[in-house]
Amino acid sequence: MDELGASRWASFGLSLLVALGWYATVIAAVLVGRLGIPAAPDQDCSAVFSCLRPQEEIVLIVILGGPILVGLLVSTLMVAGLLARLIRSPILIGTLATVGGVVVVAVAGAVWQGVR
Amino acid sequence: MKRIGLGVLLFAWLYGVPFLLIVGLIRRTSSPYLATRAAAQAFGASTDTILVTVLVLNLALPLAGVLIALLVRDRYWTRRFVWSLVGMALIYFAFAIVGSVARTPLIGWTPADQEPAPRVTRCMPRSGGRGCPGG
Repeated sequence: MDELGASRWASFGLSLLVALGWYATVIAAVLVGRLGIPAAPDQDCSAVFSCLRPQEEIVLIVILGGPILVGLLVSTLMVAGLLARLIRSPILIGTLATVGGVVVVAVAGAVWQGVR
Repeated sequence: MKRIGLGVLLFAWLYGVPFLLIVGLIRRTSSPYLATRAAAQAFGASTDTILVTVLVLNLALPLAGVLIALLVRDRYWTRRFVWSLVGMALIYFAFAIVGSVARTPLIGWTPADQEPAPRVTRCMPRSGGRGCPGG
C-alpha cells in the first residue's frame, strides 16, 4: 500500500472513531438526563416492565433494538466511506456519517412501516 | 503537547456541548416528581444552570480555540477551530428552534410540584365578608 493509501485508511479509521464517539455521547447523555429526574415513589409496579430504571431501559433497548443498532452502524460505515472521497477532515466525516446513518435508518424504517 | 491541548479543547466542545444540551433538554421536557415547592425550584435552577453552561461553553470553547491556535501560529488547528465556528452557529440555531417550539421559556422555568395548597385552618372575620361559623 502506498503512502497516500495508508494515510487515507488512517483518516477513515479516525472518522469511524468520531462517529462512535457521537453514539457514546448521545447514549450517555440520555442516560444521565433520565437518571437526574426524580420519579414518583408510589407507582404501581405490579405489571412486568412497568417500573424500569433508566439503566435497565438502556439494556432492554440495546437487546430489542439490536438490529436497528447494527443497521445504524452499517449505514454509518457506508456513508463514511462515501464521504471520505469528498471530505478530508475525519471530524466532519464522522459527524456527517452519524447524521447520515441515522437518516438512512429512519428512512428505511419509514419505508418498512409503509410497505407492511 | 500544544496540539494535544488544542485537540482536547476541540473534542470537549464537539462532544461536551451536545452532551450537556441533551441532558438539559431532557430535564426541561420531563415531568419530574417533586414533593415540595423548594425541590421544584432547585430542579428548575439546576436545569437552568446546565442550559446556560451550554450557551456559554458553545461560545467560549471555539473562540478560545481560534485565539490560542492563532497565538501559537498553528495553521492546522486554526483551520479546524475556524470551521468549528460553523458548528457553533448550528448549535445555537438548534437551541433557537427548540426554544421557539416550547410554549414556556427554556431558561427560567420551574416544574410543577406536588406540595398541597395550604389548608385554611382559621377564620378571620372581615367586614363585608362572610361570617365565621360559630361566631
